[in-house]
Amino acid sequence: MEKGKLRAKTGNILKHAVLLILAMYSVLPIIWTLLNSFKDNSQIYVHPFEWPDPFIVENYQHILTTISILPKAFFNSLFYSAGTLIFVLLLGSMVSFYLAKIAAKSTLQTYFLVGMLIPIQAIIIPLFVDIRNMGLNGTKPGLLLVYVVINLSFAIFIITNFMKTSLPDEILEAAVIDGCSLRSIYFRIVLPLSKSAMATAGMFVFLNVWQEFLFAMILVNGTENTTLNLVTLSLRGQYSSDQGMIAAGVVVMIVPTLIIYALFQEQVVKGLTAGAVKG
Amino acid sequence: MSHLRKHKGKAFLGFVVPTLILYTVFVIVSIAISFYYSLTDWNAITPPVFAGFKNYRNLLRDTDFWIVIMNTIKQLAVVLLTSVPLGLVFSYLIFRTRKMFKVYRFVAFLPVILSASAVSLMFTLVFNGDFGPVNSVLSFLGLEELRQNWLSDPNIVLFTVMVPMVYQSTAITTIISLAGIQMVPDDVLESAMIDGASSVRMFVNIVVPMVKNITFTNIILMTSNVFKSFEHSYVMTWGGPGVRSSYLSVYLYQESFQKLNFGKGSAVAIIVLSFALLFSVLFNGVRRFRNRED
Repeated sequence: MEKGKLRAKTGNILKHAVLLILAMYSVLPIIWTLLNSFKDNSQIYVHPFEWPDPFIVENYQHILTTISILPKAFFNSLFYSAGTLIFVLLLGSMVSFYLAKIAAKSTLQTYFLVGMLIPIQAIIIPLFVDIRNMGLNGTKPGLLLVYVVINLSFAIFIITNFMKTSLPDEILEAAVIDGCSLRSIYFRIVLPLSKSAMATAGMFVFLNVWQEFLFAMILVNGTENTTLNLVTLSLRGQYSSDQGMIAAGVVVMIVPTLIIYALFQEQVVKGLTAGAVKG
Repeated sequence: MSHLRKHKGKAFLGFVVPTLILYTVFVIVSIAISFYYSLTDWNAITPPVFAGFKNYRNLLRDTDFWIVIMNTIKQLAVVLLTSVPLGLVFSYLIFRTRKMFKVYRFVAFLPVILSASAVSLMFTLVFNGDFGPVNSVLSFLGLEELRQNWLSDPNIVLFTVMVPMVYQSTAITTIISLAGIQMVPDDVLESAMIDGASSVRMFVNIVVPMVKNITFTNIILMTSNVFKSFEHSYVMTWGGPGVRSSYLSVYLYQESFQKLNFGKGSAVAIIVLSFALLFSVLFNGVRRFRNRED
């Protein structure tokens, strides 16, 4: 079309040059770390930029032997992320159904949104004390509870907005007239029709919990319920001289999220934008 | 809606009340409790003792606290001055690509997909004084005298721990600006192109004004991220040496959970909350004011 001709060639080259710099800036640190994870310390010091020669996998073996809890921590992280996702989507969509379709109370909706405005640091000490008083310090349910309550607001925000705009009243009305109970309307109609909003909110919550650091550190650090983030960071303290191993630790931390991102790129991008753009 | 409304009471009990209780007890009430704790002397073990505004007075006299406040404000300034404009430019360039759109988008968003702790750990390697690429590149360029102990020199650690923050923040502002640019109606850009507007002029005269609200969103989001930011400083330098690279949240963590001073920690928490609310009210006020002008 005309567009192609109108674009000046120099501008085009400049555009791609800037984008290439951006791409390198995003990717090079990651690739460099990946390469160094296959080198020993002496290779890293002498040839920090070269291709690994010899190509060694000892760093990864060492991580598994020195942090024997690593596989467990991986599954713990998976447990926290998936568990939070399930509870937050279930509780959040129930509240959203009420706010969007049964009684559109804006004060109640605003009340639920307050949680999005306050930084979690503002409530970290009371939450820690609550968990300790309940005897849940260092346990999985304790940290899971914290993750659920701090992610509720966001999920309610996304799902309520979706239901208000994209869930037709007529279907729900017809179901009520046919004598469907509220519970079956929720499970058979509302949930299936809200899949896309649930996916968006779910992806955001999952990544949020997977990446969380501060609450994990004060609640489960050093216990068998620790997270992947925490155990790999112990590398920084204990083995700060073994650079190859730290690089391998970084790779272990980022590979799961990279896989999720590569598989669900559209959902991830939606989840990350949804909150900001609609707000 | 009328038929559904009949079940309002029952629905409220079944669908809302459990979550409402959970949320009220652990989030809303916690804010009030934070404020109460900030007025006490409390070592986290024996019961708290009411102490009035002592924690706040002590904080104001604490030189470390002022260094931390200044660090946080500097970080805010750097993030707003880099990530927000860069995000706009990058997102526009990505938007204008055709074939490579998905590739560039995938790559540009990458830093925010990774956890802050992983990125911080990665940058401890990048800034390593002995073999890190930053110092190597400086040597390669013949700038030996610019080589630094990035992670330990008290005069530059603050800069060092800001780098991963900017790395990740720019990815966020790019995502959000791109979503904003994609909402600009196609015909606006197309008619400008037919009129022969250059790419740069389209950016300055059409895109920037049209995504103004998105830019404000970015500013508010970046501000709240700065007040939350913890891992970059904590993982790279433990906030040190001293508090030279600490932000408010790192200081809060150290006072509360390392020195077990829950009263003082809570006072910091309330200050963080006030700052975050103040800035979002401020920026929202500016946004409303500017929108009224149009």
